[in-house]
Amino acid sequence: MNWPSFKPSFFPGQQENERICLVVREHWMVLFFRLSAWLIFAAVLVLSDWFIGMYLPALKSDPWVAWVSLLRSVYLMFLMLGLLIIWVIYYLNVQIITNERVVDIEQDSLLKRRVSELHLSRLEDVTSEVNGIFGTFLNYGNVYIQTAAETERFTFSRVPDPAAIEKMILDLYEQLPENEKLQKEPLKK
Amino acid sequence: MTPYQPTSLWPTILALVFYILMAAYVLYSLLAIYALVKFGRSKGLAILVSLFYLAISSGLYAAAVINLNNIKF
Repeated sequence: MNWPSFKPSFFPGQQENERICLVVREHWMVLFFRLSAWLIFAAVLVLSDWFIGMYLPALKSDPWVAWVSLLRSVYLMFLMLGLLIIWVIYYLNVQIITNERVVDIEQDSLLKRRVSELHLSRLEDVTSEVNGIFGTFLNYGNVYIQTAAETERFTFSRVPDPAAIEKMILDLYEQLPENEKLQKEPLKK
Repeated sequence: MTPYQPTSLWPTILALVFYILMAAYVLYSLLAIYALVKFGRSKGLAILVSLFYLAISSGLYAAAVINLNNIKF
């Protein structure tokens, strides 16, 4: 029987001598937005109580009170489940920068997980982008990493301080030995 | 003479719907906990959050079952 393996490494394929330079998740504002959406659903419970008290007082007496209580209990259970799923997905979405590569772990849902990695030697271009009111004031945005492959492009979505992350990746690239760096074609005149 | 009325039909349907919902709830909860424990960096945090969630869920489930049993047809 194959039991799930709980390896001490932080991400799949981590080498023993690989040094983790940065572990970053989405900005807390992203979690805040999702929790705000969750709060709207939670407010339904409070509003329904107020609505029943104001317009449907019959539901507060037998035999309907038991039905309403049952509905509220089940709704509250699924609210808690939603809260857990929001946090788990936020927590498992993580980007890792090591001295050798960049790892992007995307947990889109409970059943969809994607791990992409890019060796720093295949780096072509790094771009940081900040846009929107919240992004500008709270300093979060996207980092795009273009690889040597024509179509492949890494995206770190809504990470805090994207300019610092861009600089860190470029610094790590510069620290690579010359023979490991991608041999780029000389510019034609 | 009053005809026979199957009074146990609606409670049966209600219980069936309730336990199907609970099965879906348990399934998704276990999936979330499994993903958290398997892929999360800190196993201690994952176990702590899972135990906290299970404690809350158990209380809510108990309350829901009591409310289900209080329904009179």
